[in-house]
Amino acid sequence: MCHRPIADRRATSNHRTVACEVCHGPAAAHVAAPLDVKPDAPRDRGFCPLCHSYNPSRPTGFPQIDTVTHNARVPCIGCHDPHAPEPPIPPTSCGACHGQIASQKLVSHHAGLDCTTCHEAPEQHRLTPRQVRPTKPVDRSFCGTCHAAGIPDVPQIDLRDHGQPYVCWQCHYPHRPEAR
Amino acid sequence: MTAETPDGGVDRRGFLKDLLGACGAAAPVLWFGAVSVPELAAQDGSEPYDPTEHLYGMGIDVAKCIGCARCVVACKTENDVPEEEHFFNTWIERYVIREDGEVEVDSPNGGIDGFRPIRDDGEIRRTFFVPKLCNHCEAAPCVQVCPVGATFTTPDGVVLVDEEYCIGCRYCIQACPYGARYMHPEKHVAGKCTFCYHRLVEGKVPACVEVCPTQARIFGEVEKRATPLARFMRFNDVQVLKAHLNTRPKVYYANLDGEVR
Amino acid sequence: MQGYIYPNEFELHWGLLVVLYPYLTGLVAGAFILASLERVFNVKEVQPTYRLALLTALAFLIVAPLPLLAHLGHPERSYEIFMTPNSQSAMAMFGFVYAWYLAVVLLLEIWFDYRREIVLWAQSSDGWKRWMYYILTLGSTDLSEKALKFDDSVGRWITIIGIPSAFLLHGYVGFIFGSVKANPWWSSVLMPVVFLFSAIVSGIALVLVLYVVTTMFRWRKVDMKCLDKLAQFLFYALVVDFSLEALDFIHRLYESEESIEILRQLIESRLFISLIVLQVVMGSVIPLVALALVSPGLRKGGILRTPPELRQLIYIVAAVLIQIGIFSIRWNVVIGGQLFSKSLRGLTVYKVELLGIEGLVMTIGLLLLPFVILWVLVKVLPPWTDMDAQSAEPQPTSQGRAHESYQ
Repeated sequence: MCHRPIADRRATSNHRTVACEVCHGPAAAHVAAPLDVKPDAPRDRGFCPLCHSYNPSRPTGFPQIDTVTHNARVPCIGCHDPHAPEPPIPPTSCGACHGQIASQKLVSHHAGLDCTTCHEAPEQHRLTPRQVRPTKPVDRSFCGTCHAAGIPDVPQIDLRDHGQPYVCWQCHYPHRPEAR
Repeated sequence: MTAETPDGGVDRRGFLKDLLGACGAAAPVLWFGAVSVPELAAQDGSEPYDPTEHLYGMGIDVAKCIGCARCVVACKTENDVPEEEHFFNTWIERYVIREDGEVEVDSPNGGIDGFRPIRDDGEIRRTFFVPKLCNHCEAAPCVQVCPVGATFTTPDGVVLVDEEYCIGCRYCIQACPYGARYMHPEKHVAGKCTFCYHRLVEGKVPACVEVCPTQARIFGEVEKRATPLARFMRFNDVQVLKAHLNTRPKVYYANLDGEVR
Repeated sequence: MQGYIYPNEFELHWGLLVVLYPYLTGLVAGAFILASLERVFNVKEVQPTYRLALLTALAFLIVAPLPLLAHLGHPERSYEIFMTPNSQSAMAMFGFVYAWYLAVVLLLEIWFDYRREIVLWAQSSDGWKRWMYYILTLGSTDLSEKALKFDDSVGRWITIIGIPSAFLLHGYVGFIFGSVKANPWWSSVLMPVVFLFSAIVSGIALVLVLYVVTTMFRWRKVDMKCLDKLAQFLFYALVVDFSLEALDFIHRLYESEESIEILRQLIESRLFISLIVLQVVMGSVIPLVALALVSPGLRKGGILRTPPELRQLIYIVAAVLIQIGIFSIRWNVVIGGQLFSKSLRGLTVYKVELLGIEGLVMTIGLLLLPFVILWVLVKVLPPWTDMDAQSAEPQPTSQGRAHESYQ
């Protein structure tokens, strides 16, 4: 067994399901002649975006970045250890991973609301996003705290009648509520 | 050092150069760490491989696929698939379903070249990637129509082509409902996914399964309990492609949208 | 390419050569069925075309496997279809149907029918021709009454077996396509039946044209009764064929399955000329109307009375249009079925090459080759029933040939 420390570090990291050969290429030749044949090691900004560039077709919550603006010109491995790629500074904005949701909210009437207005996100969510999830509102009265409380300049409805028996987000997409 | 292509992808030549040192379609043998390659059976060389003890299938979780196409690249490298643009054992399709119900599907070079930005992405209802490959059907129409029996199903459920026997009539390519087969431009025989059979007999998983970074592809055995596929089938609502044709595919899709053909 | 096709579908797999093959076997089956009309059903009027039809069938049957062999990736292994066939494969079983038809039906029938003349020609020729005919007799030179009656009855039985064999020959080709459930354009119960009847139509039309052309080349007079009868049967066959195709079309439209949308696009864009213009209008409707009006199909003497020369011309034009139409059917089925994706979301294109093994030149060559072979066959085994005393070939007499009649 050769590259033990690297393998152990990777085994507990976010890249635990990424096989060595995904980045280093097919390595049978290296195993056969370890000193003569060396696998490749992508060190430029071109490789990591194959998986991590923002693409709306990728599952929500998969870590994605805008390849142009995200730490422009710095090689990815300058901040991220590829064998333990947890970002040195956990993302500060929710939009760093939830790009599509953020882009929708930005052009909506809810643009001025922080994500935390409706969702409680424990700090741990930034580090192990799939194990620890943010909360979501569960009933109509939540939206009513703004929309049935008589706040000026905010559209008001009668919570008892409007759209019963559904919850608000079955009709109104909360990240862009005016969308038809 | 792998060279960077203009759009930021990895130069395939770099990948291939590594393989040239290996013999033929030698499987990338994994020696690093216990986490990595799932071993299907204790293949320590003590017992010969017995195909009647296995029946292979694959599970694909559409919700996990990120469309990176590492599987497509690994397959082409592992199995000497022609590099030209329209020969694939496996490929990635992107579906874009718009708010008005219109569906667009594309697969630029099988997904290897990345996907073009979606135009007008404010009007998208859903969009996702679907990996496709030979379904290794239990009632494979390709096996049924081969006039000389060059394509056949092994006892362990893998549909293969005997390249020494195939006469190149292309009937199997016509009969496959999934577009999984092609005619090899140099060998003039039919080609398709083999579930990396040369790796299966050594107890390894297919190359596409091994390199998938999100475990969107699960490989295992259809009739056993102690296999990742069993858990996949139990915990997911699975579908197969074109079920109405009764080919009884052994590639099971979880979270498959109704628009996928 | 428009829409989405599976990446592997970029290449069209069955091209011009595979279009040519059902066209050729269709002519074989059709010509033979026409011949059987005379032999089994005693339709005396078409007797002048009996032997010509048999030789035509043989010439086309010899050429028919050539486009297939040329198209294979490994033609040198093709014998394995006979050595280790997959009994579940329609294509493999078809190899045996073809071999059966060639050897047992066609060759035997021609031999039994011609045996008497072959013996006479062997006796009356010199040099290498004498040897050739002698070999063709296969040693059986008995010309007694009993032997000739035996020839006649065996020939009759072979034809009786031959009719379902001819149905099987071309119906099977239809089945090879019709049984492919992966392709909604091909997969249909009607496919073998449509193929068969279009084969009958094309075979009769071909023999009609060949009869007129060969008669003209021999400076003889065309037997109008024969020609009218051919046209009559051609009309009936065309009515059935067109009805079947119309039925298939209406059925598809009515059921409106998932594939209807892409198939509609296929017909409107890729197949408009070959299907609507060539197959339907030029290949079916125009000949149907023409034959309905002038042939004795609907009314004895035709609905419109026409002078024989004009009628002959109309028959020939109709027969040629029919050939174009039937070739278009093969094109529309084979190529059409591959022009749309099995994802039902896109269309592609087929680029015909000029040279190369699947090219236009090769196809035209293979289309002309049967006529060359037919010319040789006609020289060796003249099928004419109206030879005069000046020719060296002896006239067949009525001795022991109860089924023949003369002008």
